[in-house]
Amino acid sequence: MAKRQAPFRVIQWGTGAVGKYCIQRTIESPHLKQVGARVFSDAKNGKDVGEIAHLAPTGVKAVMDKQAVYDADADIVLYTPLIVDIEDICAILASGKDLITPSGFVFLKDQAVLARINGACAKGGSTMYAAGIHPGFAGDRVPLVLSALCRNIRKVTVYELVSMADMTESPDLIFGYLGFNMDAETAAKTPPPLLQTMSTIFKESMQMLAAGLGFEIDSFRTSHEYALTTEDSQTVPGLIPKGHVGGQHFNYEALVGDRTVIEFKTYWRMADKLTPAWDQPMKGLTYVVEIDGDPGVRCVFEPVGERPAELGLIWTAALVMNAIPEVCEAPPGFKTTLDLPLIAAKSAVHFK
Amino acid sequence: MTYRVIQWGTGSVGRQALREVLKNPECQLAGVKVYGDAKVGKDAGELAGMPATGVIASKDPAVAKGDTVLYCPIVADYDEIARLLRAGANVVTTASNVYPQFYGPGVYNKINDAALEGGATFHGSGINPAFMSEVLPLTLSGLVHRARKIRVQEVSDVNHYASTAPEIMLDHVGFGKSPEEALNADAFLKGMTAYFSESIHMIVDHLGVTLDRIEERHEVATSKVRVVLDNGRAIEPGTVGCRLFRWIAIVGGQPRIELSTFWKVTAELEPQWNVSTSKLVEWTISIEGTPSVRCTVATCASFDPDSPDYLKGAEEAAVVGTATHAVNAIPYVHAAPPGVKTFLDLPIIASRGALRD
Repeated sequence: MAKRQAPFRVIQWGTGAVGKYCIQRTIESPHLKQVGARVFSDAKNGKDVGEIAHLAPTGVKAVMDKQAVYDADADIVLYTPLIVDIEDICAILASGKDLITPSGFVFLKDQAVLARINGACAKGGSTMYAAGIHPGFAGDRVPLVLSALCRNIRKVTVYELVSMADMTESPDLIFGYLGFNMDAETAAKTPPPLLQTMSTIFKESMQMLAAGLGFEIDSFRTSHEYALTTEDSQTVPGLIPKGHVGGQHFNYEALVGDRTVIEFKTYWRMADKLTPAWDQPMKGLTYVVEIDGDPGVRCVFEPVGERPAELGLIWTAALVMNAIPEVCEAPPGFKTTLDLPLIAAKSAVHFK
Repeated sequence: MTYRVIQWGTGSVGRQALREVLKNPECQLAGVKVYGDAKVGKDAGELAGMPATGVIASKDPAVAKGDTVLYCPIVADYDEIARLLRAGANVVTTASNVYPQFYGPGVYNKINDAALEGGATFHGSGINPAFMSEVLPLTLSGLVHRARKIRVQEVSDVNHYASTAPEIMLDHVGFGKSPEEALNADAFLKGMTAYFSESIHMIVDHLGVTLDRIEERHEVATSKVRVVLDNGRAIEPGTVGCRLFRWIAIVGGQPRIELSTFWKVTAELEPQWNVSTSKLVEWTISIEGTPSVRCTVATCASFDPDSPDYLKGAEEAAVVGTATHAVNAIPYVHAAPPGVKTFLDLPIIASRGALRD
């Protein structure tokens, strides 16, 4: 017996980039009903949820008051704030609502945190799940699914190839937060701003993949490389002069003994011509999953047609939305991709 | 945990499955069912092309409660499957039936009731149809908003298969025949339509939409060159050198799912179809939605450019993948509640074989 019945009543917690897509899809889906939103600014407080997502008014007003969300009657909260708060997550779960988040939590090895979340789930009879493109899909779900074809696996390598030259996010984000456009001297003494955060979330993803494939990781290794432009490069966020940071390669490895068994290789480019010149081409957004095993399996996926600048966020929002039916029907507790059945575009089908 | 496994049938896929079972430390081979007199009394190792095992093939191997039967004949015998399930053995099959619901309540209830009675689980597996036509496209559909259409295309070089199984590929599928002869569908081709229809039904049922009908299209292209197979037989110029099967699901009056398969022995074709000249078996999965996504998948012995097996063995890899997928399902099937359990009911079937050798 499913724990909840469609149409599932949805509350959006956080109405930033991913949150707006979630609201748009929730409002248009016959299987879902938008019943609330939690916002973080006075400017959005009391606004119609539809208007926040650039749609017609829905009559549902956004609130800043957390307690109002806990008290509300709803099936699920899509939890997409900028900064994750474990207190809030547990309060939502304890209030009897399921929760899906794209912010970390794809796999939890920390028993204290896990016990806390499971305690809140038990209290509320609710389920928590984390979804996203990477981590959450390209580096864990897809290789797990593909591994079914392999008897023996020596190594799993996942490439993320991204061109960020047409990103419409603010130059502050691209050049400031992400660390592009620094001159060589500054770059040499500036550790990559995102390395710490990203290595934490990718560790979870690698741990889930390892758990699914039945082995324990002994250690992790992380490295990073800046690549400098070899010519002045015009990008949407602004001009990157020759000799400035125009590419970043993050490398995450999971080892058993001294052998690398999982490797995530991320290449972010603002320009085609870089030094060092990487083999990996400048792509809109492409993931390559390679299993070195018996047999070998190689899977490449990418968007068709013109790539929306926010594709990574759109894919993440889709994975969050499409997980709703399975999460709403799952037994209570913290669940990962290893626990849930196949997740498809169930609530996003436009077949009729 | 060790699983007792009975290998049922030692044909192309069955023999490979037997090899996988013997190499898999989680599996213990407990019996081998063979159909031909010539194989009776042979050691399983000999049948698998591996060292002797002490397990001797027979026409009627003993099956105990809790065993898993890897059921790999070409066609499923539902009476036999029901008997195995009733005896308490799980059945994992590569003989279609990935979605036995398609064959109606007569077939479904027969299997499901026997499974419930025996406290056993039935699961149908395969690479295409099955993995490529259901599991992977549904997984990828998770990436799209407003899914409008799902397309899966296989392009396979079948030289090896045509050489080892000419009765299927030449006699039934029609390589080397005139286009008119090849297009005159026989029972084998009707079977293929049924198998791919299982996939379509699984997808539409899972997505909760209503299927109007499935349209079936068969086309052939003739070879421009003479192709000599490893078994010495030749595909003459002007005879069928490539076959295209298409199954199109119409939902709400619109084509919404298209499963197509190109089988070729050459890329030198008339008309000049755009089938890759690569020897790789390659699948392309496209999901139209907002935004649309395209995925290509290939299997082969190795994708490592430094390996001597680089890009080799693609056709065999597909057979290995089929067998392995079924073997990898065993722990999940063992843990599942009794009854018919499809890919939609089980967790992701991941390989437990990391770093096995």
